[in-house]
This record gives sequence, C-alpha cells and structure tokens, in this order.
Amino acid sequence: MHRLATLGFSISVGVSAVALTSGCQPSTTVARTVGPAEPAQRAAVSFVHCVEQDGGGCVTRDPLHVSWDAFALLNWLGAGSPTSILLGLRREVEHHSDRLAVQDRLVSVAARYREPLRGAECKPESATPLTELLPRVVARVQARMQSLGLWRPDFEELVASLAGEATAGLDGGWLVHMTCYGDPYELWLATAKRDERQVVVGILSSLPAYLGGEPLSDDFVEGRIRARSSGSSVNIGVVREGAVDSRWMPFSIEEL
Amino acid sequence: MFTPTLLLASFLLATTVTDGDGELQRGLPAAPSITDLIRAQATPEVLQGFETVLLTQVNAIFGSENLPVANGGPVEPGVYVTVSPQQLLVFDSKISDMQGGLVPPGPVSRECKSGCKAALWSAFRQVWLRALDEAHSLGLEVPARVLFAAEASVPAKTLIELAYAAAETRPGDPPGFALLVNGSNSGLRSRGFYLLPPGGIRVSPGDNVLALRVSLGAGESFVVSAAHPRFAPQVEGSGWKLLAAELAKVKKRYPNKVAVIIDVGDDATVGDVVMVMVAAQKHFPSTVLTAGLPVKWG
Repeated sequence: MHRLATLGFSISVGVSAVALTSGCQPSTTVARTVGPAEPAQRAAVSFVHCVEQDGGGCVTRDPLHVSWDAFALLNWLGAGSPTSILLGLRREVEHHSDRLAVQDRLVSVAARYREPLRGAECKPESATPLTELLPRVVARVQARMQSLGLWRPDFEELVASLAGEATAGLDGGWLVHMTCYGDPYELWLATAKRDERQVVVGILSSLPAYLGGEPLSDDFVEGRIRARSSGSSVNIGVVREGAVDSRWMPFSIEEL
Repeated sequence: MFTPTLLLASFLLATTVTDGDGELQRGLPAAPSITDLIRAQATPEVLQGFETVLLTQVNAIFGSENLPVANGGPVEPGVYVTVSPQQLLVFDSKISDMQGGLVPPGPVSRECKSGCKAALWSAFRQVWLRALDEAHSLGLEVPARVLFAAEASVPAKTLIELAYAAAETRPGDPPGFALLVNGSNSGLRSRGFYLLPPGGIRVSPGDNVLALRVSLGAGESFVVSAAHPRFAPQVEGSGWKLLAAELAKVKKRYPNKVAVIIDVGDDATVGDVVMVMVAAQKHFPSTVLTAGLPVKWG
C-alpha cells in the first residue's frame, strides 16, 4: 500500500516542565510540526488559487516539467485507451522531446482549469510521494503492454528511459489529491522539489484504479461531460445527411 | 541510455497471421514496432498494431476461432468491446460479468431511451468521458466507431443492448458500429451495421420505403417480411441458403433497395446474425439490427 500523508499538521504535544511549587500554574504547550506532505499541499493550494486568477500565467518555465511529462506519459501508457495509445504514441513521444511544447501543454491545461476552478473550492485531501507511485506505474505499463501484445525490447527501453527521466526530477515530489465542490470535482497536482521548495509541475484530472483512484460518481461524470462538451473544440459529431435517420441510419431513404 | 525519441524510431510492429485453417493464430507474433507505428499514423485508415491488440485480447478471452467466421471489410480503429458468455470488456477493462452471454439483470437507466441497464449506462459514460479527456489533452478525435468482438454463441440481443448503450452514452451523435469476424486467411475483418433508432421509426407512404425485415427464430429459422403493405406474402423457412435464395427473389422485385433489417428475437446468436449478413450481402449489403422495434407505415 502506498503511504498517504493526511491533510493538516502533525500535531505533537509536549508538556512543559511542571513547577510543583505553590503559586505556579502548570502550563501545556502545543507544538505544531509540519508534516512531510505539507509543503506540497501548500504549493498545490497556492497554485490552484493562482490558476483561478491567472490561468496559464501561473506556469513558469521549469526543466522539471519534462520529468513530470515523462511520468504522465508512462501513466497514459498504463491507463489510456489502447486505441488512443496506438494513434497518439508517436506524437506524444515527439512532444515529450520538446521542452517548450511540454511547458505549453501545462499552460493550456492551467488555462482550461481557470474558469472551472473559480468557485469550485478545491482543497487538498491527501498526498503521495511520487517515488512511491513511479514503480507501480512502470510495472503497470509493462504488464499492460504485455497483455495488449505490444511489449517488445524497444518498448521496454522506452519505458526505462521515461522512468529514468521521471526519477531524476521528481524525487522529493508529491501527488496531491484535491477535491472540489464543483467541476472538476477532483484533481491531482504533481509537485517537484526545486531549491528546497515544492513547485507544481503537472496536473492529472483522474487517477487510474491501479494507483488507487476511485471511479467518479455518475453525477460527477455527467458534470464533467457537460463541461467538456459545451464550447468544446473537440470533434465529437458524426455528420450524416440525407439519411433515413441522420443519427442512427445514415443512408438514403430510397435504399431502405 | 536511449532517448525516447530515438527509441520511437526503432519501435516495430508485427502482422497478423493465420494458420490456414480459418483459425487465427493464437500465439501472436512479436509486437508492432515503433517504425510501423510511425508509418501507420501517417496512414490513419490503417492503424498498425490495432489488429494485434484486438486479436491478443480475443484470444485471451475466448479464442479467435470462436468469432463468427465470415468475410468482411478492414478493421478500422475505435472503441472496442469484447463479449464472451462469461464477461464483458471495454478496451482491456472488464465492465461486467455476463450470465450465459446476457448482461446480468439490474435496474434500467432512466436516461437510456433504448432501455439499457443502468450498469451499462454508467460504464459507457465513464468510457466516453475518458475519451473526451484524451481528445482534449492529446488533440485526438473522440472515437466515432465502436467495434464488437463477440463470441459467436453470445445472444444477438446482447449485442444490440450493448450497441445501444454505447451509442446513447456517447456525447454528440451515435457512433458507427462494426462486428468483428474471423476472416480465416484474411485475418480479422469487420462487418458494419446500424441500429433502428430507439422506439423504431415511422415512414410515410410517399417515402417508398420497403423496410425489408428478416426475423430470426430458433436454429436457422427465419421469416422474411417488410413494412410496405404490398409486400406479401411473408416467407418462412429454415436454413441460410434458403434465406439467400428468398432474398434474391425479393431483390428482383425491389432492385433499388439495399438495406435489410435483422430482427434478432430471443433465440438468435451473434453467429446467426453474421450468417444472415452473409446470406444477404450480395443483394442487401446494408444491415440494420433490432430486437423487435417496429418500422411503422403511415
């Protein structure tokens, strides 16, 4: 099981020396120590607040983005649809090699989250060290590609290379789980350690089951689909004209 | 250490082969290479590796020799659904156990006009949401095709229930449908089909619609009828060769018609549906599937 660092402060209670002499009141002090995930969670909260205001403007150039992109690419191989993997692998690997493109994608993702995050009141729930997740991602990719019939030595080298990049930049980073009252309902912000500070380097909209993610409730699924379908530039239509039924039976009525 | 880009240039894919006896080879070849993927993605109508992925899964779940055997067209990429008498998968994720090829009983979804079960509705909505997310993040299109790899013995009404569930849950318009078949030496092939709209359709006399229908019963029994009131008498029979002969007679009277509605009833299997497709393919190559929905005249 992976370790989850719960929200909030670890609280340690220390009892000061108690004076037994009469006239002195015993005093108790509460020392609040910062849990290991706290800096990452604070960074995530700050980033979300920034995105609400400035969208993609919150993303600063950082070589650590490439490390997260390697992690995200592996996660996609472990959880994405096989069809999209076959369709998009080439472009995604090429994209990964372009640092500016990697950064641009994070900028566009942050820009897309700007409106939904306003009023969504997202708050951190838990955080998991990325170093704990990465081996599971790699193992998942290997097992999955084998079951899909796509695993080959060169694929193995590709995965090892990506894992190496992820390890190099994400040691000390966390995946912070945030829950929200509205769309996006849940999101996961990845942080990395830079100059002893936690900085956000990536965003996931869902966590696959093999990493402990739970399926969204039906209401959340509907909310997300509504949000993604309205004003979307994604091509989801199937154009069929002059048909018996333009949606279901797209052939000429004379043929029926 | 190789860079991912260099590795991409060396990644290769293998082809699908058959053993010459109509059974697609079980022991799949080495996986596709990245070079083939590059080539394939430059010609998107053929997605290299897709057949390998499909065959690997079919062989793992029920064996490609248990697909309906027929000729067909090329396999084009899309969402793929695998159905055996025991389980149901979308892509490589198990959605549900099956009970003798039937979706387990459960409440009907209020949103599903075709009356599909709530469990199917939820599962397919999740699938389409992930497809939307991938389309947004990767710049891909949401798949416009759903392929069904169904063991031949699976009840045909299951195929229809799944197809409606997949279609009604898709944001935007329903997708196209294809049924995967074992093309023997041709490898994995597909047969396209349509569904009657939920609730059926009504046609006016002025549309000059025939709406030829083959209703299936137990075994190879069939009834040929049509929505047009002057189509008479309806023909009953048994056996796919007889069906092909009867359809040839119908074609002589209605040469402009190319579509046949296959009403699967309770007893027909996916294999039976494919046999009807084969019997009709020469004269009525467009197939519309239904489980009892009407084409109303007038």
